[in-house]
Amino acid sequence: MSRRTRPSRPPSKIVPALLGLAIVIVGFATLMMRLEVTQEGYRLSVLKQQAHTLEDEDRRLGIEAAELASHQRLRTLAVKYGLQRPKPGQVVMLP
Amino acid sequence: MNDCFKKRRARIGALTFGLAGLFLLAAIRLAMVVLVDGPRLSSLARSEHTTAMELTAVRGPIVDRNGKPLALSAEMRSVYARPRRLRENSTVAERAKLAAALRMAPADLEAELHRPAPFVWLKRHVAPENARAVEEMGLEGVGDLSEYKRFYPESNLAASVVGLAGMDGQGLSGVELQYDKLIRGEPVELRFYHDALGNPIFDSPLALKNAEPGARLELTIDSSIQSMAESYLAAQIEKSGAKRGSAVVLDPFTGEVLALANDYADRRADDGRLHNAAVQDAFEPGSTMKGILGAVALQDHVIDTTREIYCENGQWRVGGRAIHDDSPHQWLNLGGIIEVSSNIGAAKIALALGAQRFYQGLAAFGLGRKSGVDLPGEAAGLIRAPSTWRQIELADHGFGQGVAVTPIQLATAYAAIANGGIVMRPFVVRAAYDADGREILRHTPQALRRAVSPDAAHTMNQLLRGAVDGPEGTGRLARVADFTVAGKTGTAQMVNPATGTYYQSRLVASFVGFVPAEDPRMVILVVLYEVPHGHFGGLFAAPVFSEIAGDALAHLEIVPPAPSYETASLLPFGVSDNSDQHDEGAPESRSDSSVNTGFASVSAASGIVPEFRGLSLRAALDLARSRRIDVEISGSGYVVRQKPGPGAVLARPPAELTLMEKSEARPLPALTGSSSHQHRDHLNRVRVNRVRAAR
Repeated sequence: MSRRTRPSRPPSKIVPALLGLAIVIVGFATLMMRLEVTQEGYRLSVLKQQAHTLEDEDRRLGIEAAELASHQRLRTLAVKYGLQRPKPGQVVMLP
Repeated sequence: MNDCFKKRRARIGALTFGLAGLFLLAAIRLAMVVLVDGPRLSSLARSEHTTAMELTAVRGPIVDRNGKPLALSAEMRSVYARPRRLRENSTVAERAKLAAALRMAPADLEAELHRPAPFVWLKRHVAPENARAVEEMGLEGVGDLSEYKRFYPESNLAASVVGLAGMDGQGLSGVELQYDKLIRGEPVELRFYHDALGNPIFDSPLALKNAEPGARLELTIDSSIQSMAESYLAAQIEKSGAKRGSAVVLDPFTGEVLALANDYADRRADDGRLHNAAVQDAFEPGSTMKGILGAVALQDHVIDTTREIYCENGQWRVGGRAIHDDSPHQWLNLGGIIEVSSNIGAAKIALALGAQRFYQGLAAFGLGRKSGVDLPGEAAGLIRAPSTWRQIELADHGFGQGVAVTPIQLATAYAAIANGGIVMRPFVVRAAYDADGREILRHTPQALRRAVSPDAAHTMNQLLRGAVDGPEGTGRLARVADFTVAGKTGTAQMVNPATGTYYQSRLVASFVGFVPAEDPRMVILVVLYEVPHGHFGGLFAAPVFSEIAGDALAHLEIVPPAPSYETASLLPFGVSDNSDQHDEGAPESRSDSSVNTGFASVSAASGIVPEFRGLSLRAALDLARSRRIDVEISGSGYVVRQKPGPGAVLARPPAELTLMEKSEARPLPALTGSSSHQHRDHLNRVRVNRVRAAR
């Protein structure tokens, strides 16, 4: 009553290898993504700073433009250049 | 064997018990760490690995009604020091260099560094290039922070309205204070991880949040009219010798404040950004009160325009005291009393009106109570309860003595006369917009109450023209070329607050009026305080009115309703000599008046709209028929309004005529939610029966 048994095949190494490879790839991808996010973060930080600087420059120029066009300055310049207010009757509003 | 087994069991039991005890202790400790110390430890961990940074919000700009900026903010750097650390790690020469970079005297810097404080500001709001120079020095114990500084590019223009924002960006006065919550913005605190060198790691969208900038406030102020008002007011203060003055320009139909100026002779006393005399100071209105008194008396039928009052030849004793007029008069009707500004006539009207009714009338016009203007610190003025008025006080109140009103109240009261009797809430902020331009606040005109009937207001409008146009009018200097002005002068003694009596040599001179009287577009009040004796409102305040009104009308491109001959000669159409177009249907008097204004010739031209106003329905239709002009009639009675105006070419017929009965009174319209134009039209229609009639 001896029973013949087929010799068992050694377990396949492909699956663990593929699994390991997948883990390595996923890990590497995660690492790269993390690195990329950090790099983008730095880049955004720089851009943000640039935007902030430009916005501030815009504000500063806005103030300068407003000061240059102020009524007080224009009145002073008008006197300097010999301009006068129109006399009564010089300005006629037409219907 | 048994003993051995038992001992072993006992040991195992003890060990199990011991381990269980240890486990329990560990669990308790864990629970304590998590539940009791958790928040503190989390915070410690966060502070170890993360950095916090507060981003301050930029304060919103304030602009005038045309978008011209009146207040703006820009980022500046504020340099601080940790005195002890800086002293220990720097030389005197380095600190002198630091002082030079900050434009400070070295001695001042040293004084700051010897203060017993761990932190001192060396200089706040320095220009970025100066802050960079400091940074490049690399001194230990010196640092800088970013802050926003408020700039007022128009210098002191509308300073008392705009107000002041403090060093830390908080509103201190004016609109800056009133709307501080809206314009200060929302600062934001950012928390993010940092690397080994302390550089932030921006790996979270949360780290990219921005502070919410403050809202952009749009005022009702027109900076051009404001500039005119300030300029003319300052010139007159200098010329008249007054100590200070105020001017208010209002749109009578909406309550929008177009200009609000305060000025001082002594500029050192000028605290214009912190104090708004036109809103916060009360004065005795003097004879400008007569316009209000007349409207109340007309409303209550105490007097009409024909009844005459004996003015006692310039002196009258009442309640044991004498009341004087500037010049003797005998019999005057209400128009005459207004024109020559008779105190005796006004006193008699006030006495006839009675304390209670006069008081109610003043209250209806908003005198003695806050106008509701959206500026901080408004004064209510002073009008005592009528039960306390003696006879002489009632008489005095009739010509504006013994009561105190603020300039904004008086301007608002005259705006009610100008617009047909409705008291509008004055306001200086029209709208607010968030950083994305979305509207977050809109102030629409708000009718507070009806002060007098349209009829009484209309009659008072007519009578007030006499004070400017009349041969004896006290406000003749308020005239504006080509326009009809209605207004009233005022002169009152100033009260000495220390003694409670009047100064003999200090007066308040004022003029309040509106223009064009036929279709008021602006109410202007000018008050000059502490003018020398003998300088009356008509002499000094009225010319300022005239100057402001003339320039403001030109600025707003308001066309005169009936141009003068000189103006009419410049109109872009020829003079017709076609005799068959002569106005035969119009009443004789209208033709005569047309000749006087130079319109007889121009209105005869084909397609030119003649003057319909003042005509009855029948006369208006006859005139229209004779000119072959299609007209559309609204209402009944007499023509009070026409579109287009007289002298204009009728491009799109029909012409619209609006009529009204003389005694019509209409209930207060609902005005909220309408635009300024709708609102003006709405109020214009208050007096008319808006029934479209087939022609």
